Amino acid sequence: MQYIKPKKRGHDDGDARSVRINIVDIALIIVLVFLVLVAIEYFTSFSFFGNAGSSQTIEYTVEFDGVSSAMANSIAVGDTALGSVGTQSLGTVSSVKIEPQVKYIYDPASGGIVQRALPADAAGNTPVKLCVTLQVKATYKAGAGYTVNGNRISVGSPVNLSFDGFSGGGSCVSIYGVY
Amino acid sequence: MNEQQKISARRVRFNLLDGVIVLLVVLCIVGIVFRYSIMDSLGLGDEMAEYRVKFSVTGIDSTLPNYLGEGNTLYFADGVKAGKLCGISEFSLLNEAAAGSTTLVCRTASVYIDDGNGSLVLASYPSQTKIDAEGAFNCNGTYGDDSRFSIEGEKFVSVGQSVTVYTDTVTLNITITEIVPIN
Repeated sequence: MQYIKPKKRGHDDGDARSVRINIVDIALIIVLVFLVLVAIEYFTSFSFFGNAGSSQTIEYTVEFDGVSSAMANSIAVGDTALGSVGTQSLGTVSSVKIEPQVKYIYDPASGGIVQRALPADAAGNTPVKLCVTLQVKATYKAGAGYTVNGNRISVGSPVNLSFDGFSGGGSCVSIYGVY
Repeated sequence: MNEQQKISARRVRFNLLDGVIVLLVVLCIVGIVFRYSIMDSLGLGDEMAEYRVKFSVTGIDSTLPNYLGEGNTLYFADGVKAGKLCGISEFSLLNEAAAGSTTLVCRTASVYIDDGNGSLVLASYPSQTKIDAEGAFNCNGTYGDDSRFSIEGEKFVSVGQSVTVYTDTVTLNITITEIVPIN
């Protein structure tokens, strides 16, 4: 009868150098990795936990100075405005306002600066001030504000828009959330 | 199993992974000690304090202050946080009605212009067109050994400097006019 010596539990034969990871090691590694991530999140501008932002429909108005009246009249409600690159939509026109273009000049009589409308050129064209209001679904993120296809929209910042009959650079003068 | 084998079986085995963990923990402790003790003695860890940075803006649209609110967070163009916008009561004796805004002390914009006779005159724009304004924001900053002021220890600014700052809805070009500690 052959006697087989039972293998003792926990007794390794020739396995003395193997790396054993137990539950305590795993817990320590998780804690350390978390501390490193928190340090990076807090002390650097890189963010692991930053959110992607929320989507919100906004209306913003862009003013263009010195636009020819023919180009200004070519823009209509419902037109799509593209970015300066010409491929990404920056909104749909919700209203168009055309005003006489004025220039600020010094008036010796009053001692102050006054507005004067620009006269027509030799061809009879009078430059106008074009105000276009656009509605678009933007991404809002605290610290970055509103962005549309990667373009940040804010009051006081320049905006380059392209329409079918006009392309130019203007300045954003208002921005509102549409609820 | 004899006694020697039992002792061998119970011996704590220190492997490579345990070594890495211990090294990381030691580095963390050294880092904390360095940050809160040695850095200060080396003059590398200047204490932050609260400061109020006053600024001016010129020639902005008269409707722009409507998009600024007390407590709005200001950021520099590179995304570094500048501070929180003050209400006018924190830096001015004017009330909201006199100032024309809750955050900026506004006045009609004025510029030096040639009067046509070779003289320069200070002329004002019509009302409700362009304005000049003063404002302020609170921030954490410190003066270094070289007397340069830095906000959050990251961004160096000085009186007279023009910088671009922005909130969630507004972008402004401001000129810093004063930096005062908040008591």
